[in-house]
Amino acid sequence: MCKNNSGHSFYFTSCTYTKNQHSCDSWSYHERPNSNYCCSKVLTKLKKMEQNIINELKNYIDTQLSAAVSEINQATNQTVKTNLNSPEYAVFLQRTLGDLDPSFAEVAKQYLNEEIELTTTGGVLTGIITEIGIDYLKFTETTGTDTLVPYNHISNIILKGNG
Amino acid sequence: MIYMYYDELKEYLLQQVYIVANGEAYSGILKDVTPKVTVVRTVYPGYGDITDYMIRIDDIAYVRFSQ
Repeated sequence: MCKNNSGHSFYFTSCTYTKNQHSCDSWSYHERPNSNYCCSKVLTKLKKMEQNIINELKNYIDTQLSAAVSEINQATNQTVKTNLNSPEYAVFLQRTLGDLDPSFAEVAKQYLNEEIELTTTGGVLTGIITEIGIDYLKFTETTGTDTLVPYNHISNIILKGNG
Repeated sequence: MIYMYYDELKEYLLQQVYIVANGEAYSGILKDVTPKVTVVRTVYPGYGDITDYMIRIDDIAYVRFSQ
């Protein structure tokens, strides 16, 4: 009986022993004086087989992993490209980095709920600012209608004082 | 989500609007809003066909909504 690295025992099925030569190609075990020779040779073979299997498994896993990673990369790139090319993102960039002036919103906030006169590129509006957006303000005119005005079309704001 | 002019406009889809852009006024139904363009459908009963006006959002001076 032989023991492998894991400590598991196994038996040989056949083994030939001649006077000057041992043949241990098959797993074998016989109660013979030189059977230890067979054991060590078979063990070496088993170790080689084990190493081969491990290497093959490693190669298989590497191949599968790299394929999966490649697929994920492609999907991610496609998603990013799609989003970057979308008109929504273009508008976001334009408004956020280009036309958008956060200081205007800060100034406009001072006039929130005050009666003002708003001069736009399309004419003069009178009423109350009810909402401050990122790039627009919502305005309720004295007639009671709601109006949206983008900042980039506002020329000036005049506060209608009580005095 | 960052709420912007375009998003706010979308809230008024299919409502009566009065849009002033480039010195012109367009009164009708807000039919469509994209990040770049709005479409206003004007109807004058007994006076011509239905007309859709595409107006660039950047050109809009203000949008007035009917009560």
